[in-house]
Amino acid sequence: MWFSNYITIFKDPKAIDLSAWSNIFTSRLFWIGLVLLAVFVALGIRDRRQTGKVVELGSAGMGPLLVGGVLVAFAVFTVLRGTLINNLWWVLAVTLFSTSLGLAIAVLADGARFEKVAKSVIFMPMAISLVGASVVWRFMYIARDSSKSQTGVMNALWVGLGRLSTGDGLPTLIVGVLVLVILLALVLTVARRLTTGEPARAALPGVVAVLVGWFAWRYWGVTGGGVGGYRFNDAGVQLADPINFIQEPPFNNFWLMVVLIWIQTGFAMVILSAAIKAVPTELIEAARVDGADEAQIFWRVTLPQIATTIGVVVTTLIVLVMKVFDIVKVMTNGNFGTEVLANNMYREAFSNFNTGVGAALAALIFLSVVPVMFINIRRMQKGA
Amino acid sequence: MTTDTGRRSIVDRLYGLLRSIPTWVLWIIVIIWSLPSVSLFLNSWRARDAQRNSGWWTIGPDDLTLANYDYIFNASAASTIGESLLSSMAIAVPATIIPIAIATFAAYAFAWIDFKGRKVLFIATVSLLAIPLQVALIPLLQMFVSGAHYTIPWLDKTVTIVPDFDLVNTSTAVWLTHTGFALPFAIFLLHNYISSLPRDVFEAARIDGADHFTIFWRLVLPLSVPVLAAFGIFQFLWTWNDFLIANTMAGTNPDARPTTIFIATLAGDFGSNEHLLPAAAFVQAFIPLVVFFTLQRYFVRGLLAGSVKG
Repeated sequence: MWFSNYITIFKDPKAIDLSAWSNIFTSRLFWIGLVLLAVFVALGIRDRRQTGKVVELGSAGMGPLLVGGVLVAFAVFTVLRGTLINNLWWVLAVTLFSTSLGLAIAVLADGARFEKVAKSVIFMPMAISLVGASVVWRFMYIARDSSKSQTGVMNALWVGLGRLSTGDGLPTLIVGVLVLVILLALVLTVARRLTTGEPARAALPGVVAVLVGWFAWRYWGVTGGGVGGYRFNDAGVQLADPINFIQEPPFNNFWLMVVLIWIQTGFAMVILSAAIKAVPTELIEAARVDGADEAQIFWRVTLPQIATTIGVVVTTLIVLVMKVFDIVKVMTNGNFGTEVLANNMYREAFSNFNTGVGAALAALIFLSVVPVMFINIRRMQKGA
Repeated sequence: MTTDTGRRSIVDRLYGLLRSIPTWVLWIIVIIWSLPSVSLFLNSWRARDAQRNSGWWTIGPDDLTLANYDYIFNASAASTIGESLLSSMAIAVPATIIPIAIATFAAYAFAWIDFKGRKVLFIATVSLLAIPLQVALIPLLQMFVSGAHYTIPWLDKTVTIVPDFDLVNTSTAVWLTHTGFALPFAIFLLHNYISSLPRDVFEAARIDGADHFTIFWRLVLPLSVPVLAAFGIFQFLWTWNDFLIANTMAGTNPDARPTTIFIATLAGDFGSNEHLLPAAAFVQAFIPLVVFFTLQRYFVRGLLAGSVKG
């Protein structure tokens, strides 16, 4: 049969597994995302009445739309499992987070003191090999038995937070009060911006306020009590409860993606920073003279000016992430539900000596990056 | 009056604090971003038991030991990291120099020599950029294992296209693959640069009686140094940090494996050698980091250009 290798791939339950789709209704991410999308719809209807557009860059609805969309997408990726789904999740998460974080850092660092030092530190992971980066993060993610002290930074923080929030000493009180102060400040900001007619700028503090509010709620033990890594055993003794970042599906996938995000954010930052610096100052001055504030200048002037560069970063990242291999190979070798196309291809072709299926997988990778590569090459030729 | 100015200055100070929030956010991100590398670096100086039982943040002057570095350089069971560093060099150096040499000639020809089929050939070369290297791994490995043979249908005659050089599991196979995959990108990048050199220079040289070789040698090469440096750095780091090609072509031969495979093998030992990983990873990253901090300008340029590589 001509297509037998492809049929083998797509019939393999490990490639696409939709059986657990109904779990989405118990996913907290999904419901939070839905609420945010509902907020977006409400804001969109209002904005449409005022400006004729449902959503614009920097309008009130944009924050809830983006965050809600990402949360719902993540919820979908956690219930639909399989190699192909994992690859899509990788592409979405790494591209989105690297680009937006890179953009945020580029904006924050622009003109700041020690800008060069800050940018060098963020950019440095690009020089490290993917294998090296995987080793670096292995040590961040170490999870040890609950009776021992944690040696990985992530779990030390997580378990430490659990201890802090359920303790009753002075540090617990100080952090608790600090959280309440921050919450109060956020609520005041949101209220003020809503009453002074700047609802667009209330969206971000609003989202943060909800998160901090939830944190404070748990921290002060209104219900449930405590945040972080701790649990009680049958005898009621409190134990540490570390997260096994690398082995607990489905979110172990995300913790692997963090490694690539850590590396690629520097790349996005360098390119976007150069683009931001190339925006003509006359444009920004003119906007300022017309009375635009910093946020408006960013959304309405800077962002449209660097749109093509953002396109470059996104297409580059998509091609790169589609072929991700080293991180998965070194950290899990595709176990614990973290398989991706490139590692699957490697395993089929060079471990199982299933050359036909391996070649078919390689061809799938090829087909999926061709359109993006085509755009990239056209752009490079125009640029030359 | 005094209380009023006093109050205002407090408000000013609070306002200043609020305004500096973006800077604080930036520095918090910077700290988070450097944390993984710092923890790796500090852990590499701690003994096995210290690494296993306590976090790196408990490091004190008594903890410091060279044992991990000493072990990976002198006493590692399979092979030492020194050998794998040499293997990495044996791969990265030819895989950087050879593509540059070929691609500069090719780029000059595509840009400034009129020959039949120039455009078609160039488009064909550039299209190769779209092919991810995964696609070619299987056929390439088969070629390295047994050469390439083709049986002509109906005639029942087998022709050897590429003889069996027995290259599999040698560093030659690795750098040959890297060279092949670097060429489309190198030609494309150098062509973009060389074709944008001013036409007058070439015409003046030709009037003075210079032939193509002289123009290439005396004019094009000196003018192309920045782009050659950018590509060279990109390609060197790419091959130095590569894992996939090296693992496919020479993964099972301890004498030919580069540092990335050395580290991956250590990492795959199910924890028995985990305490050596930070030191090994740091040694592997040392050369890229030196390149990064000394040649950052070219490094950025190379990365920007390399963003199109498949």
